[in-house]
Amino acid sequence: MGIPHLTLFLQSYAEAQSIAGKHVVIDGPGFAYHIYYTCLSARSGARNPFEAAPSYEELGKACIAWLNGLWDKDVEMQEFMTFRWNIWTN
Amino acid sequence: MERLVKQTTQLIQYHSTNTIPCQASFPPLEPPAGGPFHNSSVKSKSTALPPSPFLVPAVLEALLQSSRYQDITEVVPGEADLYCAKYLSQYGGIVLTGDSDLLVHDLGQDGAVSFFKEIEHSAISDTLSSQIYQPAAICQRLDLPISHGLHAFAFEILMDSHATFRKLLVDARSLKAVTANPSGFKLFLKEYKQLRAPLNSNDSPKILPILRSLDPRISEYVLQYPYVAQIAGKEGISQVSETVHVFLPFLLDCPVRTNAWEVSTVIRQLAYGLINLIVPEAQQKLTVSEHRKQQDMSTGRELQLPALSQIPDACNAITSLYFQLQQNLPGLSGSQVWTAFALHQDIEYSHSHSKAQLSKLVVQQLAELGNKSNMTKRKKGFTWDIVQFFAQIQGSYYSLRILKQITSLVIYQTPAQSLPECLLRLHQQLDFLPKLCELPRLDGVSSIIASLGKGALAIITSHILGDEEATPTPQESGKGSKKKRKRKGDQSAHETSAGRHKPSNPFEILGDE
Repeated sequence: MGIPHLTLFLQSYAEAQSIAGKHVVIDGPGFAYHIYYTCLSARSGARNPFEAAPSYEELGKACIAWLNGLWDKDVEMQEFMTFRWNIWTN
Repeated sequence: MERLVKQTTQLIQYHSTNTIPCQASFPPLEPPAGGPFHNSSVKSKSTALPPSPFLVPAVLEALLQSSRYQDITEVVPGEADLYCAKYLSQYGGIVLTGDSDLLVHDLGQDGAVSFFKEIEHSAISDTLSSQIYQPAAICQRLDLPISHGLHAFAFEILMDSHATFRKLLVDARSLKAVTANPSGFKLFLKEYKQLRAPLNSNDSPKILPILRSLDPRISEYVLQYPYVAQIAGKEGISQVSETVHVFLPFLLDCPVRTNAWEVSTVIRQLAYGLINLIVPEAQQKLTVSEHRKQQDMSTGRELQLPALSQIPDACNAITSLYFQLQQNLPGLSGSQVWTAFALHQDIEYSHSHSKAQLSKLVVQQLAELGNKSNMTKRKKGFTWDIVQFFAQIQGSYYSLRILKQITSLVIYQTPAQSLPECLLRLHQQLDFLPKLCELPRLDGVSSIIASLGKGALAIITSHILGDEEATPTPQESGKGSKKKRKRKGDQSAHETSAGRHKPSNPFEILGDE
């Protein structure tokens, strides 16, 4: 659900660092949405959401390109990327 | 659930304000400016609808196909946050996420968080850098009580979202909200409770790699069965709940028409029912509750599952229809036969419900769009019929994908000699199902029908009509030629009663073949 403004409040306590050589774990669903919005933002000429949406092929390529960007900088991606499991419980 | 209601509202609003959903020709693709780490804002008109329905499975598919990333990609049997947090608390490192919640989880002394949108590439130094949030260090700097850490600060925000940073900090240091509302704090902590299950189990049953690569929505479904959950290492599932839920991806269809998932329901019923082949009898289910579009927090739509004895017939029905389409439409690739199968579902549905054939209507509308003399501005737009058709085909593909993934699971978990042979045949045929990356975008909708060659639609239609004229089999003679009419009655009752109606045999459609 997220805590409102938490990141904003803590921003000045974060440190800008190079992530080269760091060990990272990637939150899968967050990653998927990030790449999706990156693809949307690249469609400046889109007049509506149908035109803005990337094809699944384009989306897949953008994901790999993004990860390769980390890989090229020796970011060590760890054992798993997790994908959210979000069943409704009631 | 709340997201589903929100997405439904979004689609209804978009439909009511846009008589033409979009123009027929899309602007050409632009290469992404500034490389993969360039972040620019997204225009609000691009997000007026929910995201592409198969976004997460498509990303997962791309990762699992990549030799470089497939081994580090895993669908975990629970909330991703909990697994990321547990990993960091054990091994340290940085979690890349878009969710601020991870700051509140226990990440141990060395765990840190970084947000995707804050990763930057410096062209001058050719380095990647980001803002790194290390909760343990931040707690120290903020002088928060070690016993409560950032939990205390986050809880103060939740209790008083308009307070200033200074006030929140002072209150968090004295545990003001925690003391004032201990039961609320206890409830809040539940979400951030550390995962007890180990990250990796010691024994690796053969189906574990399959379980770790299922689409998340499919994984959610099968892990509600304790038998499967135990293999996957999911904690806290000791008995199957009374109702098993399935949340389908949100298809962008025409909201005033029948839901685009409807035409392919029978495929999903079989898919969900296959799980009964591997779970103990006490866990077997007769129904599932399926959630598609919904405007309230309802319990979903109840779907009947096939009895174990019906499974071979239902599998046979699909494999023989696939085979017949292959015979009637020679020259198609295995993947194109599944496209023909999806079209068959659309035509069959229109026909059995005495509705205008959507695919035929769409072919006419696309032909009009292609006719340059008709190119007035208004006529250049796609129609909601085209959007509906596209969504139905996507729904059929994805229903088959669910069937494919659950079939794999069942096959890997059961000795081949004890499986119905038709299930193995179905599994082989489903291997040809198009991958998500092969599906066209809406602007490529005409390629769906065109890829099957001239006259395909007529051939599929006559195949369906031919079936109807066929003499009923002895066991069906009681229903005789009224079979189609009865089916229509079944389905509409299904819709009006929000799924409470149980059809006598949901596999009639498949049984035709």
